[in-house]
Amino acid sequence: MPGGEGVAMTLPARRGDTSADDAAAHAAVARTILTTRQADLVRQVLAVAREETGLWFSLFIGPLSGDVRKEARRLHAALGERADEAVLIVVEPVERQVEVVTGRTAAQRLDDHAAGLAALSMATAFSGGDLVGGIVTGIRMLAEAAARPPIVRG
Amino acid sequence: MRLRRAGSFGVERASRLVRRVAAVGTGFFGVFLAAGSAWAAAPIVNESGTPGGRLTWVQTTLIFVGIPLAAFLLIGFLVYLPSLVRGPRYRPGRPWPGGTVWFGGPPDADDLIARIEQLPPSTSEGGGAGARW
Repeated sequence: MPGGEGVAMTLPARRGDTSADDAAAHAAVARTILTTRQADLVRQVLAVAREETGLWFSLFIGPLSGDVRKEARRLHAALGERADEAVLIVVEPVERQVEVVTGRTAAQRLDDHAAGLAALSMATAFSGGDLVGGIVTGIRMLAEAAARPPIVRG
Repeated sequence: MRLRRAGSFGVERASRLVRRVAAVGTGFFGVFLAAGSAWAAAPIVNESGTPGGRLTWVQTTLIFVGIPLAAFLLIGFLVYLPSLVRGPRYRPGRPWPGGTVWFGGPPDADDLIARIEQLPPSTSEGGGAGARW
């Protein structure tokens, strides 16, 4: 299973340096996926989305083993007390799947239609190899959808 | 006061320019000087009527194999330099360069990622959607 392999591969390196400095280790891993500048951009877009909506936007990028949707919901639950008002975006590059998971409160503001549209838009960008572009557009779309009053769909 | 400052700046700049020209000049003309002395040491015209000494096989190899090879390597290096600086990037269909990152995750995100399989299944009712590419 390629997903499981990917996770296993990253673990030994991570294990070694997590105790020393979590943030530094996290940044080091982030740099292999995104450049420092791209990571800063993602952080900034997430911060803007949080500010605009009051919801906790979070982004997970990495391989997951098993059913991606199920794993994504597990990660979302791991956000703890924030989970209810959290919007977690999971980008699974091995299975090539993107999932948007909304908590109970967040789901009232961000309906599944809007989440689906953002997910589709992200997937389109990823299929062209534009990881950062897709993420940034997706988060902005989600934030915009969550910031405006819900649309009554007939 | 102002003039003196401007003047000293000008002198500094000029001296830097002189040093730079001297450094580049020595390198550039040094090659010719070295070539010239080598030329002078060899007989002007050899027995076959061509100027200069006969090339040894080492020189021949260096000129006809070493120089093209060096040029090839240099160009190749220059081509790959940008991607070397940028590091691995995502390309659909290619193996994932590795790593997992969680922006805005829980404080112990790194530990959680390490034991993702042991996380309890989600019981919260929320929503969401997904897409594939």
